[in-house]
Amino acid sequence: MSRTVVLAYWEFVRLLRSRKTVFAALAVPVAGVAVCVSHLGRGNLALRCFFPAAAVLFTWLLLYVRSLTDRSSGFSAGIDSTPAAGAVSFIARLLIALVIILVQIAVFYAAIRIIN
Amino acid sequence: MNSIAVDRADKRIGQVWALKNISLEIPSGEIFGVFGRSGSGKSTLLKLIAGLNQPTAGTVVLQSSGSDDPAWLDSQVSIAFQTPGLAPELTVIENLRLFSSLWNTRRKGKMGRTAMFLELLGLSNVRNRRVCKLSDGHKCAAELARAFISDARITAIDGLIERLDHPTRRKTWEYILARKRQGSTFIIATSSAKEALLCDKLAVLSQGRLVFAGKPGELLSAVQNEVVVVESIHGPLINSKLRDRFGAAVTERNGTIEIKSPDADSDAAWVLSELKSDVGCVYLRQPTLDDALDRIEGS
Repeated sequence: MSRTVVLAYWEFVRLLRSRKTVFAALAVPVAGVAVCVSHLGRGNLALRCFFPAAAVLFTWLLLYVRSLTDRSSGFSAGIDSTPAAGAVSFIARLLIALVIILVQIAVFYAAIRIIN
Repeated sequence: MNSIAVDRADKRIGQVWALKNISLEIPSGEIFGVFGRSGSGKSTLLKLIAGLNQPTAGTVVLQSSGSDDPAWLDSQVSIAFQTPGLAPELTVIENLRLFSSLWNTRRKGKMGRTAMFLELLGLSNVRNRRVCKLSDGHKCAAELARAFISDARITAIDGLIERLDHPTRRKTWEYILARKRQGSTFIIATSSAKEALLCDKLAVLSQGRLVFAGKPGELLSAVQNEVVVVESIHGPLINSKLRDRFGAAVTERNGTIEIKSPDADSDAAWVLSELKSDVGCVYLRQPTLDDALDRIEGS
Protein backbone atom coordinates (compact mmCIF):
# COMPACT_ATOMS: atom_id res chain seq x y z
CA MET A 1 0.00 0.00 0.00
CA SER A 2 2.77 2.42 0.89
CA ARG A 3 4.38 1.91 -2.53
CA THR A 4 1.09 2.77 -4.21
CA VAL A 5 0.75 5.97 -2.19
CA VAL A 6 4.38 6.94 -2.84
CA LEU A 7 4.00 6.36 -6.59
CA ALA A 8 0.69 8.25 -6.69
CA TYR A 9 2.24 11.14 -4.75
CA TRP A 10 5.16 11.53 -7.15
CA GLU A 11 2.87 11.08 -10.17
CA PHE A 12 0.83 13.96 -8.80
CA VAL A 13 3.96 16.08 -8.38
CA ARG A 14 4.88 15.31 -12.00
CA LEU A 15 1.40 16.30 -13.10
CA LEU A 16 1.58 19.63 -11.29
CA ARG A 17 4.91 20.42 -12.94
CA SER A 18 3.39 20.16 -16.38
CA ARG A 19 1.73 23.56 -16.88
CA LYS A 20 -0.08 22.50 -20.04
CA THR A 21 -1.72 19.61 -18.21
CA VAL A 22 -2.79 21.82 -15.29
CA PHE A 23 -4.31 24.44 -17.64
CA ALA A 24 -6.06 21.74 -19.66
CA ALA A 25 -7.43 20.16 -16.48
CA LEU A 26 -8.78 23.53 -15.33
CA ALA A 27 -10.24 24.23 -18.75
CA VAL A 28 -12.65 21.30 -18.42
CA PRO A 29 -14.68 22.69 -15.47
CA VAL A 30 -14.45 26.19 -16.97
CA ALA A 31 -15.95 24.83 -20.20
CA GLY A 32 -18.56 23.02 -18.11
CA VAL A 33 -19.53 26.28 -16.39
CA ALA A 34 -19.66 28.05 -19.76
CA VAL A 35 -22.06 25.42 -21.07
CA CYS A 36 -24.18 25.70 -17.92
CA VAL A 37 -24.64 29.45 -18.16
CA SER A 38 -25.09 29.50 -21.92
CA HIS A 39 -28.16 28.74 -23.93
CA LEU A 40 -26.93 25.17 -24.56
CA GLY A 41 -26.82 24.37 -20.91
CA ARG A 42 -30.32 25.32 -19.89
CA GLY A 43 -31.84 22.97 -17.41
CA ASN A 44 -29.83 20.34 -15.64
CA LEU A 45 -28.66 18.53 -18.78
CA ALA A 46 -25.19 20.09 -18.74
CA LEU A 47 -24.78 19.44 -15.06
CA ARG A 48 -25.95 15.85 -15.37
CA CYS A 49 -24.30 14.88 -18.66
CA PHE A 50 -21.81 17.28 -20.18
CA PHE A 51 -19.48 18.04 -17.33
CA PRO A 52 -19.11 14.53 -15.87
CA ALA A 53 -18.55 13.11 -19.37
CA ALA A 54 -15.98 15.80 -20.18
CA ALA A 55 -14.15 15.28 -16.88
CA VAL A 56 -13.96 11.51 -17.29
CA LEU A 57 -13.00 11.75 -20.97
CA PHE A 58 -10.30 14.34 -20.24
CA THR A 59 -8.85 12.29 -17.38
CA TRP A 60 -8.85 9.12 -19.45
CA LEU A 61 -7.16 10.93 -22.37
CA LEU A 62 -4.63 12.55 -20.06
CA LEU A 63 -3.61 9.26 -18.47
CA TYR A 64 -3.52 7.52 -21.85
CA VAL A 65 -1.23 10.17 -23.38
CA ARG A 66 0.85 10.13 -20.21
CA SER A 67 1.31 6.37 -20.41
CA LEU A 68 2.51 6.77 -24.02
CA THR A 69 5.00 9.52 -23.14
CA ASP A 70 6.19 7.56 -20.11
CA ARG A 71 6.80 4.59 -22.38
CA SER A 72 8.82 6.64 -24.86
CA SER A 73 10.78 8.47 -22.14
CA GLY A 74 11.68 5.17 -20.46
CA PHE A 75 9.98 5.94 -17.14
CA SER A 76 7.49 3.08 -17.58
CA ALA A 77 10.37 0.63 -17.98
CA GLY A 78 11.97 2.08 -14.84
CA ILE A 79 8.78 1.45 -12.85
CA ASP A 80 8.30 -2.01 -14.41
CA SER A 81 11.78 -2.99 -13.25
CA THR A 82 10.87 -2.38 -9.60
CA PRO A 83 8.74 -4.52 -7.30
CA ALA A 84 6.06 -1.81 -7.77
CA ALA A 85 5.27 -3.00 -11.30
CA GLY A 86 1.79 -4.17 -12.29
CA ALA A 87 -1.00 -3.71 -9.73
CA VAL A 88 0.81 -1.01 -7.72
CA SER A 89 1.36 1.11 -10.80
CA PHE A 90 -2.24 0.60 -11.98
CA ILE A 91 -3.78 1.52 -8.61
CA ALA A 92 -1.52 4.59 -8.37
CA ARG A 93 -2.85 5.77 -11.74
CA LEU A 94 -6.43 5.16 -10.61
CA LEU A 95 -5.75 7.28 -7.52
CA ILE A 96 -4.40 10.05 -9.72
CA ALA A 97 -7.46 9.84 -11.97
CA LEU A 98 -9.69 10.10 -8.91
CA VAL A 99 -7.82 13.15 -7.63
CA ILE A 100 -8.01 14.91 -11.04
CA ILE A 101 -11.77 14.27 -11.31
CA LEU A 102 -12.37 15.45 -7.72
CA VAL A 103 -10.39 18.65 -8.33
CA GLN A 104 -12.38 19.31 -11.52
CA ILE A 105 -15.67 18.76 -9.69
CA ALA A 106 -14.56 21.11 -6.90
CA VAL A 107 -13.58 23.84 -9.39
CA PHE A 108 -16.83 23.35 -11.33
CA TYR A 109 -19.11 23.71 -8.31
CA ALA A 110 -17.05 26.58 -6.88
CA ALA A 111 -17.40 28.46 -10.19
CA ILE A 112 -21.15 27.74 -10.36
CA ARG A 113 -21.59 29.04 -6.81
CA ILE A 114 -19.63 32.20 -7.58
CA ILE A 115 -21.72 32.88 -10.71
CA ASN A 116 -24.99 32.28 -8.88
CA MET B 1 22.90 -16.70 -3.00
CA ASN B 2 21.48 -16.45 -6.52
CA SER B 3 22.53 -17.64 -9.91
CA ILE B 4 20.85 -17.27 -13.24
CA ALA B 5 20.39 -20.08 -15.74
CA VAL B 6 19.39 -19.27 -19.30
CA ASP B 7 18.44 -22.44 -21.14
CA ARG B 8 17.96 -22.50 -24.93
CA ALA B 9 16.25 -19.12 -24.85
CA ASP B 10 14.88 -17.62 -28.08
CA LYS B 11 13.32 -14.20 -28.38
CA ARG B 12 11.44 -13.07 -31.42
CA ILE B 13 10.57 -9.37 -31.79
CA GLY B 14 8.22 -8.87 -34.72
CA GLN B 15 9.70 -10.78 -37.63
CA VAL B 16 13.24 -10.72 -36.24
CA TRP B 17 14.87 -13.29 -33.99
CA ALA B 18 16.63 -11.01 -31.49
CA LEU B 19 18.04 -14.03 -29.63
CA LYS B 20 18.47 -17.58 -30.85
CA ASN B 21 19.22 -20.61 -28.71
CA ILE B 22 21.05 -18.87 -25.88
CA SER B 23 22.22 -21.07 -23.03
CA LEU B 24 24.43 -19.77 -20.26
CA GLU B 25 24.88 -19.81 -16.50
CA ILE B 26 25.67 -16.70 -14.49
CA PRO B 27 27.04 -17.64 -11.07
CA SER B 28 26.44 -15.40 -8.09
CA GLY B 29 29.12 -12.95 -6.97
CA GLU B 30 30.57 -12.42 -10.42
CA ILE B 31 30.82 -9.57 -12.87
CA PHE B 32 29.40 -11.09 -16.01
CA GLY B 33 29.81 -9.22 -19.29
CA VAL B 34 27.58 -9.44 -22.33
CA PHE B 35 29.73 -8.22 -25.19
CA GLY B 36 28.78 -7.57 -28.79
CA ARG B 37 28.09 -5.02 -31.47
CA SER B 38 24.99 -2.83 -31.62
CA GLY B 39 21.94 -4.93 -32.44
CA SER B 40 23.55 -8.17 -31.32
CA GLY B 41 20.83 -8.83 -28.70
CA LYS B 42 22.55 -7.63 -25.51
CA SER B 43 19.69 -5.45 -24.28
CA THR B 44 17.12 -8.12 -25.11
CA LEU B 45 19.09 -10.69 -23.11
CA LEU B 46 19.33 -8.33 -20.12
CA LYS B 47 15.58 -7.71 -20.20
CA LEU B 48 14.95 -11.46 -20.24
CA ILE B 49 17.25 -11.90 -17.25
CA ALA B 50 15.56 -9.03 -15.38
CA GLY B 51 12.18 -10.65 -16.04
CA LEU B 52 10.88 -7.67 -18.04
CA ASN B 53 10.37 -9.82 -21.15
CA GLN B 54 9.54 -13.48 -21.50
CA PRO B 55 11.48 -15.68 -23.93
CA THR B 56 9.61 -16.92 -27.02
CA ALA B 57 11.07 -20.34 -26.28
CA GLY B 58 13.38 -21.74 -23.60
CA THR B 59 13.66 -20.58 -20.00
CA VAL B 60 15.40 -18.01 -17.85
CA VAL B 61 15.52 -19.09 -14.22
CA LEU B 62 16.75 -17.18 -11.21
CA GLN B 63 17.93 -19.92 -8.89
CA SER B 64 17.97 -18.89 -5.29
CA SER B 65 18.65 -20.45 -1.97
CA GLY B 66 16.92 -17.50 -0.28
CA SER B 67 13.29 -17.97 -1.18
CA ASP B 68 11.03 -19.20 -3.98
CA ASP B 69 8.49 -16.43 -3.41
CA PRO B 70 8.03 -14.65 -6.80
CA ALA B 71 7.76 -11.23 -5.09
CA TRP B 72 11.04 -11.84 -3.30
CA LEU B 73 12.70 -13.01 -6.51
CA ASP B 74 11.42 -9.88 -8.32
CA SER B 75 13.24 -7.75 -5.79
CA GLN B 76 16.55 -9.47 -6.51
CA VAL B 77 17.28 -7.99 -9.95
CA SER B 78 17.57 -4.30 -10.74
CA ILE B 79 18.38 -3.02 -14.20
CA ALA B 80 19.83 0.23 -15.54
CA PHE B 81 18.59 0.89 -19.06
CA GLN B 82 20.28 2.58 -22.02
CA THR B 83 17.33 4.98 -22.11
CA PRO B 84 17.06 6.15 -18.49
CA GLY B 85 13.99 4.88 -16.62
CA LEU B 86 13.66 8.13 -14.69
CA ALA B 87 10.80 10.60 -14.48
CA PRO B 88 11.90 13.55 -16.65
CA GLU B 89 9.84 16.09 -14.65
CA LEU B 90 11.40 15.14 -11.32
CA THR B 91 14.82 16.19 -10.09
CA VAL B 92 17.64 13.71 -9.66
CA ILE B 93 17.20 13.50 -5.90
CA GLU B 94 13.41 13.19 -6.19
CA ASN B 95 13.83 10.31 -8.62
CA LEU B 96 16.19 8.56 -6.24
CA ARG B 97 13.74 9.06 -3.36
CA LEU B 98 10.91 7.69 -5.48
CA PHE B 99 12.78 4.58 -6.61
CA SER B 100 14.31 4.01 -3.19
CA SER B 101 10.77 3.92 -1.77
CA LEU B 102 9.53 1.64 -4.54
CA TRP B 103 12.34 -0.79 -3.77
CA ASN B 104 11.41 -0.47 -0.09
CA THR B 105 15.02 0.03 0.88
CA ARG B 106 15.33 0.44 4.61
CA ARG B 107 14.27 3.85 5.86
CA LYS B 108 17.24 4.04 8.20
CA GLY B 109 20.18 5.53 6.37
CA LYS B 110 18.17 6.12 3.18
CA MET B 111 19.22 9.77 2.96
CA GLY B 112 22.84 8.84 3.58
CA ARG B 113 22.75 6.24 0.81
CA THR B 114 21.17 8.71 -1.61
CA ALA B 115 23.88 11.26 -0.83
CA MET B 116 26.54 8.56 -1.24
CA PHE B 117 25.34 7.64 -4.75
CA LEU B 118 25.05 11.30 -5.74
CA GLU B 119 28.65 11.79 -4.67
CA LEU B 120 29.89 8.53 -6.22
CA LEU B 121 28.37 9.27 -9.61
CA GLY B 122 29.27 12.95 -9.73
CA LEU B 123 25.67 14.13 -9.37
CA SER B 124 25.96 16.27 -6.24
CA ASN B 125 25.99 19.51 -8.22
CA VAL B 126 22.92 18.60 -10.27
CA ARG B 127 20.90 16.88 -7.53
CA ASN B 128 18.13 19.50 -7.73
CA ARG B 129 18.07 19.67 -11.52
CA ARG B 130 15.21 18.04 -13.39
CA VAL B 131 16.23 14.95 -15.33
CA CYS B 132 14.97 16.42 -18.63
CA LYS B 133 17.52 19.24 -18.24
CA LEU B 134 20.51 16.97 -17.59
CA SER B 135 23.36 16.27 -20.02
CA ASP B 136 23.60 12.79 -21.51
CA GLY B 137 26.47 11.81 -19.19
CA HIS B 138 24.57 12.96 -16.10
CA LYS B 139 21.46 11.09 -17.26
CA CYS B 140 23.53 7.90 -17.51
CA ALA B 141 24.96 8.50 -14.03
CA ALA B 142 21.48 9.16 -12.60
CA GLU B 143 20.19 5.95 -14.21
CA LEU B 144 23.04 4.00 -12.62
CA ALA B 145 22.21 5.60 -9.26
CA ARG B 146 18.59 4.47 -9.74
CA ALA B 147 19.74 0.89 -10.27
CA PHE B 148 22.30 0.92 -7.44
CA ILE B 149 19.93 2.38 -4.86
CA SER B 150 17.72 -0.70 -5.09
CA ASP B 151 20.21 -2.74 -3.05
CA ALA B 152 19.26 -5.74 -5.22
CA ARG B 153 21.61 -8.72 -5.20
CA ILE B 154 21.79 -8.75 -8.99
CA THR B 155 22.31 -5.56 -10.99
CA ALA B 156 22.12 -5.50 -14.78
CA ILE B 157 23.67 -2.50 -16.54
CA ASP B 158 22.90 -1.92 -20.19
CA GLY B 159 25.74 -0.10 -21.92
CA LEU B 160 25.92 2.88 -19.57
CA ILE B 161 29.36 2.74 -17.97
CA GLU B 162 31.22 3.50 -21.21
CA ARG B 163 29.14 6.69 -21.58
CA LEU B 164 30.34 8.11 -18.24
CA ASP B 165 33.27 10.48 -17.95
CA HIS B 166 36.58 8.96 -16.90
CA PRO B 167 36.60 9.76 -13.13
CA THR B 168 32.98 8.64 -12.71
CA ARG B 169 33.66 5.48 -14.70
CA ARG B 170 36.60 4.65 -12.43
CA LYS B 171 34.57 5.26 -9.26
CA THR B 172 31.70 3.19 -10.64
CA TRP B 173 34.02 0.25 -11.26
CA GLU B 174 35.47 0.61 -7.76
CA TYR B 175 31.92 0.48 -6.36
CA ILE B 176 31.04 -2.54 -8.51
CA LEU B 177 34.15 -4.40 -7.34
CA ALA B 178 33.38 -3.54 -3.69
CA ARG B 179 29.80 -4.82 -4.05
CA LYS B 180 31.10 -7.94 -5.78
CA ARG B 181 33.29 -8.68 -2.77
CA GLN B 182 30.10 -8.58 -0.68
CA GLY B 183 28.54 -11.22 -2.94
CA SER B 184 26.54 -9.10 -5.38
CA THR B 185 26.29 -10.10 -9.02
CA PHE B 186 26.64 -7.66 -11.90
CA ILE B 187 25.64 -8.27 -15.49
CA ILE B 188 27.13 -5.64 -17.77
CA ALA B 189 26.12 -5.35 -21.41
CA THR B 190 28.71 -3.45 -23.37
CA SER B 191 30.09 -2.88 -26.83
CA SER B 192 33.32 -1.50 -25.37
CA ALA B 193 36.29 -3.88 -25.35
CA LYS B 194 37.81 -1.98 -22.41
CA GLU B 195 34.76 -2.51 -20.19
CA ALA B 196 34.38 -6.12 -21.30
CA LEU B 197 37.98 -6.86 -20.31
CA LEU B 198 37.17 -5.92 -16.69
CA CYS B 199 34.48 -8.60 -16.38
CA ASP B 200 35.12 -11.98 -14.77
CA LYS B 201 33.34 -13.85 -17.53
CA LEU B 202 31.96 -12.90 -20.90
CA ALA B 203 29.19 -13.99 -23.18
CA VAL B 204 29.79 -12.72 -26.70
CA LEU B 205 26.71 -12.23 -28.86
CA SER B 206 26.67 -11.83 -32.60
CA GLN B 207 23.39 -11.35 -34.47
CA GLY B 208 21.43 -12.83 -31.57
CA ARG B 209 23.59 -15.92 -31.21
CA LEU B 210 26.00 -16.81 -28.44
CA VAL B 211 29.39 -17.17 -30.12
CA PHE B 212 31.62 -17.36 -27.05
CA ALA B 213 31.26 -17.89 -23.31
CA GLY B 214 34.25 -17.83 -21.01
CA LYS B 215 36.89 -15.60 -19.50
CA PRO B 216 38.06 -12.51 -21.42
CA GLY B 217 41.62 -13.89 -21.42
CA GLU B 218 40.43 -17.03 -23.21
CA LEU B 219 38.78 -14.92 -25.87
CA LEU B 220 41.94 -12.83 -26.29
CA SER B 221 44.11 -15.91 -26.58
CA ALA B 222 42.14 -16.86 -29.70
CA VAL B 223 43.80 -13.90 -31.41
CA GLN B 224 47.50 -14.46 -31.75
CA ASN B 225 48.39 -11.77 -34.24
CA GLU B 226 49.69 -8.39 -33.25
CA VAL B 227 48.30 -5.39 -35.06
CA VAL B 228 50.24 -2.85 -37.11
CA VAL B 229 48.49 0.51 -36.93
CA VAL B 230 49.13 3.00 -39.73
CA GLU B 231 48.03 6.64 -39.52
CA SER B 232 48.16 8.77 -42.63
CA ILE B 233 46.47 11.76 -44.21
CA HIS B 234 46.54 9.83 -47.52
CA GLY B 235 44.13 7.19 -46.20
CA PRO B 236 42.60 5.83 -49.45
CA LEU B 237 45.96 5.73 -51.27
CA ILE B 238 47.73 3.96 -48.42
CA ASN B 239 44.76 1.63 -47.97
CA SER B 240 44.91 0.42 -51.56
CA LYS B 241 48.70 -0.05 -51.45
CA LEU B 242 48.45 -2.02 -48.21
CA ARG B 243 45.60 -4.14 -49.57
CA ASP B 244 47.74 -5.01 -52.59
CA ARG B 245 50.44 -6.27 -50.23
CA PHE B 246 48.51 -7.74 -47.28
CA GLY B 247 45.04 -8.48 -48.72
CA ALA B 248 42.18 -9.14 -46.29
CA ALA B 249 44.40 -8.57 -43.23
CA VAL B 250 43.96 -4.83 -43.78
CA THR B 251 41.01 -3.09 -42.10
CA GLU B 252 40.09 0.52 -41.47
CA ARG B 253 38.96 1.55 -37.98
CA ASN B 254 38.41 4.99 -36.48
CA GLY B 255 40.24 6.67 -39.34
CA THR B 256 43.34 4.51 -39.02
CA ILE B 257 44.42 1.53 -41.08
CA GLU B 258 45.22 -1.70 -39.27
CA ILE B 259 47.05 -4.82 -40.43
CA LYS B 260 46.57 -8.00 -38.43
CA SER B 261 49.82 -9.78 -38.92
CA PRO B 262 51.62 -12.90 -37.64
CA ASP B 263 54.91 -11.06 -38.22
CA ALA B 264 54.07 -7.53 -37.19
CA ASP B 265 57.68 -6.32 -36.73
CA SER B 266 58.73 -7.03 -40.31
CA ASP B 267 55.43 -5.79 -41.75
CA ALA B 268 55.78 -2.51 -39.83
CA ALA B 269 59.35 -2.22 -41.15
CA TRP B 270 58.07 -2.82 -44.72
CA VAL B 271 55.46 -0.07 -44.32
CA LEU B 272 58.09 2.35 -43.04
CA SER B 273 60.56 1.58 -45.81
CA GLU B 274 58.14 1.42 -48.77
CA LEU B 275 55.51 4.03 -47.81
CA LYS B 276 57.62 6.36 -45.69
CA SER B 277 56.61 9.56 -47.49
CA ASP B 278 52.86 8.85 -47.24
CA VAL B 279 52.71 7.60 -43.67
CA GLY B 280 52.31 9.82 -40.61
CA CYS B 281 52.78 7.27 -37.87
CA VAL B 282 53.25 3.51 -37.56
CA TYR B 283 53.04 1.53 -34.31
CA LEU B 284 52.29 -1.94 -33.03
CA ARG B 285 49.57 -2.84 -30.54
CA GLN B 286 48.41 -5.96 -28.79
CA PRO B 287 45.13 -7.50 -30.01
CA THR B 288 41.98 -6.44 -28.12
CA LEU B 289 38.59 -8.00 -27.58
CA ASP B 290 37.38 -5.99 -30.60
CA ASP B 291 39.91 -7.89 -32.73
CA ALA B 292 38.70 -11.14 -31.21
CA LEU B 293 35.11 -10.19 -32.05
CA ASP B 294 36.16 -9.29 -35.60
CA ARG B 295 37.77 -12.70 -35.92
CA ILE B 296 34.77 -14.56 -34.53
CA GLU B 297 32.33 -12.69 -36.74
CA GLY B 298 34.64 -13.04 -39.73
CA SER B 299 34.80 -16.78 -39.35
